[in-house]
Amino acid sequence: MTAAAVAPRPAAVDAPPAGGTLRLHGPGALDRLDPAVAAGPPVADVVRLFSRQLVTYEPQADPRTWQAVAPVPDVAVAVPSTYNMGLGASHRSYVFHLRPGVLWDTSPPRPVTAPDFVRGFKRMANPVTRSPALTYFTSAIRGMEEFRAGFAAAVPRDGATAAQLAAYQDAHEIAGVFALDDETLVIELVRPSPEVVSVLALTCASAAPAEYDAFVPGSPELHRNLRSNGPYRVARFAPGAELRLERNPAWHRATDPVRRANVDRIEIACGEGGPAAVAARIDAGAADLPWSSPLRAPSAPRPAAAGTAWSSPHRAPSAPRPAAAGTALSHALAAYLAFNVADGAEALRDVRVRRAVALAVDRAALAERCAALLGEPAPYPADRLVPPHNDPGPSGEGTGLPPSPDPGAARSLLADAGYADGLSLTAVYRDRDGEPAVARAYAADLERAGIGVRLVALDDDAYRRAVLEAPPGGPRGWDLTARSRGADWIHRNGAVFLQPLFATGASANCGGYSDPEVDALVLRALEAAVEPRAKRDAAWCEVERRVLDDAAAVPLLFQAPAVPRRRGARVRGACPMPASGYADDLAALWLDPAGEDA
Amino acid sequence: MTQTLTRAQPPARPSPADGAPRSLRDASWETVKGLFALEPGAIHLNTGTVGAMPHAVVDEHDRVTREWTGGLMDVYQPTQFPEYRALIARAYGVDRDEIVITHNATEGIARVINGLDLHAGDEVIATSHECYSVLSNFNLLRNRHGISLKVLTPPSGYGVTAEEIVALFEQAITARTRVLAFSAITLWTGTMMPVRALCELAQRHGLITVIDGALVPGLLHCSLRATGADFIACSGSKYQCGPLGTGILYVRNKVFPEHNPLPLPTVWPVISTWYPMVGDTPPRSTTSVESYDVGDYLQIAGSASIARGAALAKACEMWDEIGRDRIERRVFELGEHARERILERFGEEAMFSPGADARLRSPLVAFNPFRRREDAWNVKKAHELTMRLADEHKVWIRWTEFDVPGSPHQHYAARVAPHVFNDHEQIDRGIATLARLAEELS
Repeated sequence: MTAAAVAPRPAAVDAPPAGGTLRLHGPGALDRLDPAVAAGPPVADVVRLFSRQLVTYEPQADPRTWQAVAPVPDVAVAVPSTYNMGLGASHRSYVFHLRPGVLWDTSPPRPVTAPDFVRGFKRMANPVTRSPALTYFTSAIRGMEEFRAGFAAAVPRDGATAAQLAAYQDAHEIAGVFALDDETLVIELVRPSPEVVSVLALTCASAAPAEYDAFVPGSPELHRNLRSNGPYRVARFAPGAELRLERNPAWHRATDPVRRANVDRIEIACGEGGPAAVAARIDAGAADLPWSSPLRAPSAPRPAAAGTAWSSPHRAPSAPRPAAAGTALSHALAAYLAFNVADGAEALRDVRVRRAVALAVDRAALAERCAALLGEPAPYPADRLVPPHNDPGPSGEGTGLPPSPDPGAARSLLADAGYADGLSLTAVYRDRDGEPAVARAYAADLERAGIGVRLVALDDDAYRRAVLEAPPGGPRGWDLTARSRGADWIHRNGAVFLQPLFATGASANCGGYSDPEVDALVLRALEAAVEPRAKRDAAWCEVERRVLDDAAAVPLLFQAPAVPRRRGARVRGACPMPASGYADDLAALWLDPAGEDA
Repeated sequence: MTQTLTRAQPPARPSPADGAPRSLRDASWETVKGLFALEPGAIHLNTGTVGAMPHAVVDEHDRVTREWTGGLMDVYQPTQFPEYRALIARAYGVDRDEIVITHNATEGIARVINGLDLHAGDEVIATSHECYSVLSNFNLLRNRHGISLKVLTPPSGYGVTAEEIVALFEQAITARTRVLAFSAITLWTGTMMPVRALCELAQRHGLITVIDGALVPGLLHCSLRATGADFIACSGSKYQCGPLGTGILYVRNKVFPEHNPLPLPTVWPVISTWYPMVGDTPPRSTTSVESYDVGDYLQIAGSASIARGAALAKACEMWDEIGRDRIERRVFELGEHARERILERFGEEAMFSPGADARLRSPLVAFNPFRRREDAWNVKKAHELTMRLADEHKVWIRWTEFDVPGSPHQHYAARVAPHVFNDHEQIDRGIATLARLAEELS
């Protein structure tokens, strides 16, 4: 595949040949398919094939176009607006009219209804699993935070039964999510939020059938009983190993304006090996696409500006950056260091210690050492938390991050904090992909500043339990971990790299960071949603400035998206999806038998 | 005549018009009904959205269109509409230089809002009960120039008073406030806003007033000048019953201290072929004598439909013939009749329109027609009711949507808006049909 992948789609793609088995291979996570939990790539990319949302994205050959980042109707007949009876002048009440003919693959097939979406929202707020995107919903939708808090108080997280969970859901409502009838859903917001349409395109905002009430969210039982309203259904799922999707006979193309569903089957195999091994497998024809590992097509042009210019650690952080989001490809925060300030080492509650860590890490060296392990294009040093081509753009005031490491200054700060003799921290990481290399690299940097790091490798399940799902506060056995984050949506996305990570109790705030000033700034930024872009950006920049000043996390690496991706010779019709980390839309692809001989 | 708007001097009697005999002043309402091009058997209770044109207005539009089709006449001078603007101005107690014939109220409001001399940090106060055109254009200024837009939600319901509304605005004014924007009559709840009191409030604070007067022409017999407002953007196709695509814009162009002693606000004629290509306009007047015809600067903007201007003027001429004072009394009486019938059937608690304070009553009455309170936020029922009334019973009303203070829900109402082409029997029948259907949907 070449750069032609981002050229306008050839006419032939409008009626591509159907059939074949699309094969993905790589080290990406493949643990939980429950839509209530899935909010980002890569798992969300397959969830949307069997679980539809009110709105979603239409595949576009060129991901730089505005159409690629603007949600379009999915199960909803239209994106609510003032002119289609869907959005009042207050911009706090959205009315979704559901598309007729969308069916669950039940026996007999049953229509997807507005109450199914209400159930989906309730499940998302369950106390057992922790959707990383939940904060967007609880901060925007009227009554959703109250529902979540009440749910958590009423049903214990550990040992909760499906019956307990369903009983709470049946007895309680989210005040701002209700069905007028089977075909009409109302979602009320606490404040005007034009971004909410993008939030509703996340896979965790899927409808949920009544059958799900019989299972604990995210459980093996649920995964054995997944229902589909999309073009594919789960035929076989071995968590962490294998997923096989087959066509869903209850799905009809006429009821789905977005998903083309060209191939007959999709098979995902999780395998060991880094990007080079995955690339070799694709090039050898043993796989069609990478699973998770970002791999750019070998002949693709190098990314502009941000991907190369920032490899110099000496460049001023406040230098001009690439153009605004929506006109260029959104970069990702490929790695940042999260502190467990809730129940980790006492020392981490001292901002001087966190700043010492930030001073000690050599981001440029990290980028070089991990280049071959984190996929393509190569990551580059991050100078702030919000990557290029996302909102907010840089404030122009700098971020206070040093361009190069300063172990001496770090030691001095540690001494000020009472750790002149050093301290010891525990860092956890998932034992796959490039994570071990990243962990070893930053641990070595910290050692040079007098911070001993005990590295603990965890499998996916253990990592999820320790870092992502266990509520901060209880002993979780870690002090540091490197995380990554891509943009959950592209247009007007000032919240995505800040709110879920740093607001108190937020769904991706794994370290339990809490600062009333940050919370107030986040609220102010959310309330600025109706203000002109400059004011909105300024409000989010203020959040970023505060969390960086407080060393709430340490940005490590940015990465440009792999566009076009490395693809097998028979793959056609690729459409990178910006909100999915620019992974190809699996429903848009088709397989060219002639390509097998190429 | 309402208490909130001030009566104009009776306009000079116009010359007889085609199809509008002198006897119209004394004609029965049954005769007046016969002047309108209405669908037989239909009950049109939706003049708040669009009125019905008189046959004479349709004919005038057709005649002028034919007259100007294929000719080699100079189209530019006539599209200044000097006679038509003068005729309309007389009807509303103002002068020609203060009147512009626009394409609709939205165009008028957009030209005013975008022509205001506002800058970053200036604050505008408006209400959530404004037409989209008001809120969208102020939002445009917010995004373009960095103004601050403060949107108030006015109270609604039978017991609302004018004092509550004025107090709401007064409490919102700050040192940064530059503009008060509100409707003369809100299209969602039919609230006759206390226009004069709000303009006096604005004047006490040195503020510009921008009024959406879409429902004013053809309904109220009033002096636009006496409101004390700076700008009033009106529709020509609602109560004035001109063709679709007609509007009237009032721009204060003189200083009458008894009405508004403030200096004239700067307005930039953003759509104009008359604004100087070099240099600028003369200074604005500080007296009751205009310094220049600001109406011309706004009016002259390339070619225009002469037929639409002529037809709107014809409608205004007919209103003058019938008597604007008489029309106002009749429409308000029909509105009161509708209000009483609605109160009988649905009760005060169903009302979103004011009632207790007579100053706030207009002929537009908005209410929840359904048995359950929560159906007031069910757009589907409101829509179905309106569609079925039209399709199955030929009763034309409108559903409206608005915020209610303290409620998180978007509210929806049925709104009836009678005009002189309605009568009591139609209103009774229309509301009875509506009540039956609403009960079925409840």
